[in-house]
Amino acid sequence: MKLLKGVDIQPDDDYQRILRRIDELTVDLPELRESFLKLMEAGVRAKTA
Amino acid sequence: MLRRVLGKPLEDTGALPTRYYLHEVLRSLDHDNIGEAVQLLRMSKGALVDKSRWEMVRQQVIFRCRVLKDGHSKRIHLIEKRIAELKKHGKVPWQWFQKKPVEKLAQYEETLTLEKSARAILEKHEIELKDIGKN
Repeated sequence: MKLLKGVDIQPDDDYQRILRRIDELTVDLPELRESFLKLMEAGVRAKTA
Repeated sequence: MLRRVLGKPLEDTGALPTRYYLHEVLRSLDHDNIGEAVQLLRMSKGALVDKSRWEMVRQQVIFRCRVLKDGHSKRIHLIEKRIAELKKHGKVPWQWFQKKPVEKLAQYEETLTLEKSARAILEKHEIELKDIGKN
């Protein structure tokens, strides 16, 4: 899953589930996908900080 | 103020700034009014100034369409399951004392028709949104 590349998350994490869902829904929506990815990365970073 | 006075009367002309249309599209999206959002996006094409913002909003509407469609699909699956169960067990004697199975079945079928029609409308909007993006 390309959307997950570079994001440090555990397989059973909620983020994983949400990212998978976003990944499915944004296959042909690159700009939105990028935007979501940035938000999710920020969320993961805040969670692990 | 200017938006309220001039916005609606001039909307159809496509002569208003892209920002106006995109603001209205996002407002429609807040209310899940996908039909209106698609119509506004189409109108805004003529007044296109900020292509990247327009594209982002178009993708947001497509995404919302898909999320809503997904919800309808889940409900359709559930209702179909309930209808199948009802048809299978509808004539079991102990169930005669509960709600009338025929009435219940009719309600489920009516809801199923509505759900399917809502999903079809969203499907149509999604295709339309993809077409707007191509042209």
